[in-house]
Formats: sequence, C-alpha cells, structure tokens
Amino acid sequence: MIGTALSTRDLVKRYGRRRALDGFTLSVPRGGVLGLVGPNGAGKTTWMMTVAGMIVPTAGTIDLLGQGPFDADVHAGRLGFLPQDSELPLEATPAGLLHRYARLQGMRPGEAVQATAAMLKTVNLDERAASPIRTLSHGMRKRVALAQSFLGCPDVVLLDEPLNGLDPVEADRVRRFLLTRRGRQTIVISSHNLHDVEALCTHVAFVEQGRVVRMDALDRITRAAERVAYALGGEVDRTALVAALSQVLPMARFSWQGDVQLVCECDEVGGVAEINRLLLPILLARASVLSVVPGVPLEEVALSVAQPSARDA
Amino acid sequence: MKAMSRMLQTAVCELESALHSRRALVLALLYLISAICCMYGTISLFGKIEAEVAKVLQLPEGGKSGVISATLWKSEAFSRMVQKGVGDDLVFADIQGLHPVELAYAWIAFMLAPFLAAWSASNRIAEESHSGSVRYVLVRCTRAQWALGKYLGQVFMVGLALLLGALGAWLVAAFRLGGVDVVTLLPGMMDWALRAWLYSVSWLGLALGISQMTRSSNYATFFAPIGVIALDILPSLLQADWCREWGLANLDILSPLYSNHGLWRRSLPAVATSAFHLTVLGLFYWTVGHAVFRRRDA
Repeated sequence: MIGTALSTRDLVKRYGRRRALDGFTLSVPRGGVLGLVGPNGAGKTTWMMTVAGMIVPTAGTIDLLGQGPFDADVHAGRLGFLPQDSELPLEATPAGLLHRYARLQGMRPGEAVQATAAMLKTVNLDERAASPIRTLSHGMRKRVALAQSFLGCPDVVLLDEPLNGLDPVEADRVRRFLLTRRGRQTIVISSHNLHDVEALCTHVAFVEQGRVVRMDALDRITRAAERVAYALGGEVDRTALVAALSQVLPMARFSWQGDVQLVCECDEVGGVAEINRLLLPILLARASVLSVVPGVPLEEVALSVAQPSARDA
Repeated sequence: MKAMSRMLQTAVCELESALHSRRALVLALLYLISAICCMYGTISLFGKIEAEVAKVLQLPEGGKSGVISATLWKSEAFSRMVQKGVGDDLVFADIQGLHPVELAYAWIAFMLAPFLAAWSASNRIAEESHSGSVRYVLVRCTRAQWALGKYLGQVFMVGLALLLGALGAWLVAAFRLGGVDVVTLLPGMMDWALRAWLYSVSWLGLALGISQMTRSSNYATFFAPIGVIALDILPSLLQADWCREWGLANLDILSPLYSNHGLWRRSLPAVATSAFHLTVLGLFYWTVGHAVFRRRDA
C-alpha cells in the first residue's frame, strides 16, 4: 500500500445554513479498504457522492488517483460506485445493463461480455441474467448494483452500505468477495454494521457532523495487537490469577470487566499471539477460557468517539 | 471520439429502453391512434362534403370519398380560399398540386408532433434523476454526453413513431379513398412524416431542457406541453404593438413556429434552412436546461 488513491481536503457542502460536509479531510491509502463509520447524517453518503461527482461541493479539494476531482472523461472505468437507495432501470436485464455500463466505461464488446458474465457469476445472479430487473427481489437488485461497481476492476470503489438488504448467505458471499479485493483495489465502505467494517477493512475513519474526527489503521484503532479480552468460566481466584499472570508478563496491565472478562493490555511483546502463548497455559490451568477476543470491539471505539449528544441519544 | 461513442451508446440505449418502456409504447400507440382517427375523421368529412356537393349538383353518389374533393381542390375558387388560409404565397404554390388527403395528414402530423415530443421525452431525464439510476451512468460518462445521448435517442424514437403514424394514416386512406391511386400517396405522406420529424427536433430539445431542470417526472410531464403551447402562441403575442415598440417582435425566432412554413416548402434550401434553425433551437432549449442540470446534485 504505497501512496494515496483518494484524498479530500477541507471539503464543504452547504445546503442553506446546514453543512452536510464541514471541512471533510481524508486520505485513502492505495490498495486499502477504508470503513467510514458514523451516525446517520454524519456526511458519509454526501462525501461519497461528492467524490463520485454526483454532488458539487461548496468548497474544498478532491484528488482522485492523482488526477484532480472526478471527471468522467478521465476517470470513467477507474472509479466504481455503489450509491445508496438508487434504483436500477427496471425494464433492463442484469446482463443487458452490465454490458451497457461496461461499454459506456470504455470496454470493447468482447471484454464487456466477459466482464458482465464474470460479475454476474460473482454475485450469484448468472441464472437470472436475462430477467428484467423489475422481477428481481430487493437483495438481487442490490447484487446487480454491487456487480456494476466492480465492472472492469476499477482502481477505486466506493460502496455505500453494500451489505444492506442481503440475506446472510449472500452477505457472506459478498464479504468473501470483498476480502479478495484487498490490496488489489482501493475500496471505501460506508456501513453502520461495525462487525462488517471490522471484518473487511484495513482502515477506519470516524465521521461526525460532516468531518472526520479520527482515522487510522484498524489494528491501531482496535488495539488488536496489544489488547486481549479473555472470557473466563468457573470459580476463579482473581487476585491469585492476576498475580500468576503478572509473573510471566510483568509489563502487562490486567483489569476485570464485569465478573468474567479479564483484559490484558501490553504493547511491549510481539502481538496478541505472543501474549496468548504466555498467558493461555496459566489461564487454562486455573479457569475455563470461554473466548479470546483480541483488541477493543469497534463498537466500543465508535461509542467513545461519538459526540456526547449522539452517545446520550 | 470517446465522447461521441458514449453519446451514441446512450442514444441506442435510450431507444432500446424506450421500446421496452410501457409509457413510450403507449405514447407511440396513442400517436398512431390519433393519426389514424384524425385521418379517418378528415376522410369522413370529405365524404360528407362530397355527398352534399353531389346532391346539389345532382351527380351520382360514389361509394368512396376523395373523387370530388380532389377535383374541388383544383378549382380556382377553392384555391383562393386555401391561399388566404395559408397566408404564404410560396407555401401555397408548393402545396397546390398535392392531394387534399396528403395535406390533411401533413397538417395532422405537424399539429401532433410537438405534443408527441413533449410527452415522450419530458420525463426521460427527470425520472432517472428522481430514481437515482442516473448515478450509475454518471460515473461512466459526463452529464453532457448522457443528456445529449438521451436527446439523440428521443429523436430516433419520435422519428419511428411519426413514420408508423404515417403508415397507419396511409392504410386508413387506402381503405377509405376512392378514385385515387393510394400507392402514390404513400411516398408523399412519408415525406410529410419526415418533415414533421424535423419539426419535432426543436420540441424534443424543449422537452429535454425541461426534463433536465427538475427531478420530478410529474412536473416535467406537466410543464413540457405548457412550454409547447407557450412557444406556439409566442409569435402572435410578439406582434402586439408594445412588443414592436420595444423591438421584441424579432424574438419570434425563438419559437419553432418561425421555421414551420419553411418545412412546407418544396425547395430544398428552404427546408434545409428551417431544419438547421429548428436543430439549433432544439439545442438552445436543451442547453438552457443543461445549465441547470450540470450544476445540480444528481
């Protein structure tokens, strides 16, 4: 991941007095998968629409692939976009529509046919390729929309709530597909589902009231390399246990969350695997280990980042 | 080159989706029915007039219409009446030798073409803006390429509807007319359909200009025919004394009616000049709408 695929600086979008974007500054590393996290109305969708050229910003700068703001003449085929709540043409068929989009973004007829077939297979819609979109379910339409955003393997893909409306099996299929794109394409995912963001993203940006309040690599945000939570069962002598653990890992900090969860924080050993290697034998000898969770759940981080008003609500 | 290719692809898609869309098909069908009904009504009217004339002159009544109308049309008295009605000697000279049924069809086609254009095209951009489907396209081509492609697609679409209308009207004429070699009427009626098509180019520009200004399909469908009527009456309004005093009379060039007479001429330069003016006018209306669309959030 070298360089920046997409950056926006001090981006402002004003609707009357309301600022949907209020100095939105963000850089997306090339080949990274960035999760945009924030409450409703924080500006995630507005930012994506602005980057994709759908919304004209009031102020600020956008640099997409080092070639300035989105321009279809320059970026067609290099930017994929899955907008939220946008209907597909109902009378078209998935195959016809994808072929049309592929041709429009500059593919030759043969390439367009191949790319269309490949994407329809990826989203498991090859059997409904010739059905009019109006006859497809909501989830199927979503998959067609998702397929169009990856047509021709664009350099940057913006996905606004990509897994919304998908059944668990299809959501899992899409998740696995997105994981295969890591490192090959730069992907930005806006989602309220923080488990998805944790599973898919390499970076996370927290958005509040039209601006980015924190952005970092997911590992650093969740402290996945330096914090482990062990859920313990059975009778446990807490003091004796912590004393025994401190002997093998004296630089670690131990704390209890609730009755059963022991948290170990230590940034001086080589990651969670090493912490587990040292601590698990002792834990298993003195208690039942029900689960081992590295890092802080993203949900907890999101709540701590959220504005007080949003948290109280 | 890429821009032209994207525009043409959009035009082809527009034509395809119009052919798949129920609304476009219903409109084309309505136009066809209107053209057929108007032609049927006109021929029936000719028939009644002929029956009356035959009664007055105590001639034997024919089974089919058209025989006396064609003769009447060639009479000097009737010609003078038509000349006054047309109000343009050059146009009158050009249409004088034509069969009345052919002229009736021409009048019908010119009357209906603006409304066909307004109703078939006015919602095409507004609807996609409203549903959001425009967003899938605008990451692949510019707004101008897309909207121009839509324009071009609608031009093809309306052309097709007009030719079908001419065919339908000719079939009615073929069944209802007597004493006329109906086969000779077909090329003439197709010619008038093509002229009406040239006339519709500017009205399509108006409809798509309006469509670019709003996200509401209903607003676009409502305002496009109003725009047609407004531009239809504009030249008459500009003849008012105060308009002349203010030098506004020349603004009638902004109405497609300005070139209407040219399309009725037989001379090629006159038709070409009118076609050019109508195309420029259509692009002007389209550009006014596009000025809004290009800055608007999609």
